[in-house]
Amino acid sequence: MIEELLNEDLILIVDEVEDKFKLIEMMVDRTLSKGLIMTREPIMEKIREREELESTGVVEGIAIPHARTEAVKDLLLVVAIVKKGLDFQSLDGKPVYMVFLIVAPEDAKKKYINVLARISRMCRQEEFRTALKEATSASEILKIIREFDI
Amino acid sequence: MEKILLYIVSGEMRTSWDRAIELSKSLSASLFALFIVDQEMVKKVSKLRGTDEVDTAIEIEEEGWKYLYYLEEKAVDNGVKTALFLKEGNPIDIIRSFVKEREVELLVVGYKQGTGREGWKYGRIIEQLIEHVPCPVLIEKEGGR
Repeated sequence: MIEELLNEDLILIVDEVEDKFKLIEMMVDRTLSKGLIMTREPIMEKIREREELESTGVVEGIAIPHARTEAVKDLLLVVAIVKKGLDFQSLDGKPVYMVFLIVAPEDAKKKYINVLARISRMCRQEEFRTALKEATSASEILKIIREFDI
Repeated sequence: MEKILLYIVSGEMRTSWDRAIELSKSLSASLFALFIVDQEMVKKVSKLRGTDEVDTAIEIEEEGWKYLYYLEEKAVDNGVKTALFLKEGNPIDIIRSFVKEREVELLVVGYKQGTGREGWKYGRIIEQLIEHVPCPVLIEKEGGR
C-alpha cells in the first residue's frame, strides 16, 4: 500500500532544520519540483491550519502531518529523516526524527485514512523506527518501508 | 473542563464519538481518543479464526488506527483539538493510568447492549471503569432507545 505511493525522489534526508514548518515546506517543494502539484501555498495553509489546532506529532520521534485539500489530485506521501532531530511540539515533548507528510484530495477520505492507519501502525514498531533512524540513503529507507509495509 | 477522554471500542459506537466531540467543543476542551489492543481479545479472535496471534494483533491495531483517524477527521471538522493514542494491554489498567497521568476530567464511553459472553464482558468493563477510573464517566447509549 505505502510503497506504491513512494519513490526515492519523495524521500529527504536532512541533517538539521530550523523548525517544523520549514521542513514541511521542503517536503511540499519536493512534490512541486517533481510536478506532482502546481502550487505550494494551499497545501501549506491546510497543514498550518491543522498543526495550529493540534500538533500531529506522534510519540517516539515520529510525526505524521496530514491534511486533505482540493489542491492535490492524488494522495501524496513524502518522507523526511532529520538526523539531528526537530522540535515538533509533540505531546511527549521529545524531538522528532522521522516525518511522514500525507496530503490527499478531499474525495479520497477512505484511502487517506487507510494510509494514515498503515503508517501509524508501522511506526509503533521499534525495529522500524530504529532502522529508519539509522538509514543513510533514500534507497535504504525505501527498502525498510517495503519490508514493514505488510 | 480541559481534557476529555473518549475510549474507542469499535467503529459502531459513533453516538459516543458525537457526544465527546460535542462536549469538547462546547467546553473548549481537548479531546483525547484512545483505542486499546486488548491481548485477551487478540487471543480469542485468532483462535476463532485460526490465524496467527501476531497477524491478528496487527490487523486489530490497524483497524484501531482507522477508527482513531475517522474520529480525528470529525473532531477537526468541528474545530476540536484532538490527540490520538493507541495502546496495548488491559483496558481497565490502561484507562486508569491514562486518566491519572494526563489529568483527564471526563471519560466518555459508548455502551451497546450485547448478547452472550461478549456482551456480558463489555458490561463488566464498563462497571469496572466506573469503579476504578478517578474521574466522572459518561456512558453514552448507542443505537438509539
